[in-house]
Amino acid sequence: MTESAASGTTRPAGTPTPARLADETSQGKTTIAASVVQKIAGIAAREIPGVYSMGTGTSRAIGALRERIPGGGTSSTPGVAVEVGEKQAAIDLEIIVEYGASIVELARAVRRNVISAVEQMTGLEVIEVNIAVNDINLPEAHRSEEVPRVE
Amino acid sequence: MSAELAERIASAVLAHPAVAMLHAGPFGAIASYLPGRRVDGVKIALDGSTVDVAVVVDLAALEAGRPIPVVARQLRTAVRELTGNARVDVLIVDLVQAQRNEEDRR
Repeated sequence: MTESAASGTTRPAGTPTPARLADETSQGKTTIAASVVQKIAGIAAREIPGVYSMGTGTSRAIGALRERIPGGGTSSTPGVAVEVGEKQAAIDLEIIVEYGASIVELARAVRRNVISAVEQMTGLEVIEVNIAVNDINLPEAHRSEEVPRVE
Repeated sequence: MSAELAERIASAVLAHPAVAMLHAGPFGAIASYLPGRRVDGVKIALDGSTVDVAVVVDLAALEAGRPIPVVARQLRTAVRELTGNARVDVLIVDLVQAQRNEEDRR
């Protein structure tokens, strides 16, 4: 499922508009690398209970490949792809959910948390967060090809 | 530009609590080459009109209510105290979760 929402409609009323990045003009500009936004989005997504893991085998393989290309951006955060402009950012997430969670509610919570974390910490306006739920983790599925982090 | 200016800028930037370290940028292009040493993360244009600063920020400081635009503005102010009216471009290269010098700050 991929649904997106403009941040203007999802931000709760009364929330102060975070400091904007594009304020500075003649005094110099501020540039935020994509990997910064990637890490913030990845941490914010994992904060929501019910998110079991992020990424897929494919995205991890591509990430490992991209890290070898200088300037290709580090993909130390699997399952998070971002596009960062001067004022705005777009975020694509691939998540694996726990069995027994409402995926609709989970996606909504992930989106809300990612938008507020990125907007508050970076001052970028998040124009969309696309969430792809790629897999579901069943309680007894620990011996699948996904190596669990904790035995 | 005096050779020590780059080092004074570097220590002013590092003094900010949200800055974990200076970084030479994605291609190692943001650095000052001084006789016998190299200052990563600070580049001063030949005419001194522009200063580039590239840093890695600390996630803990951002979560403590210090967003990147605020950090950048404070860094810009700190650098302009040393350089006068130069334009200061701030690049946030990366983010770390390490809690640097937690004792030192208290």
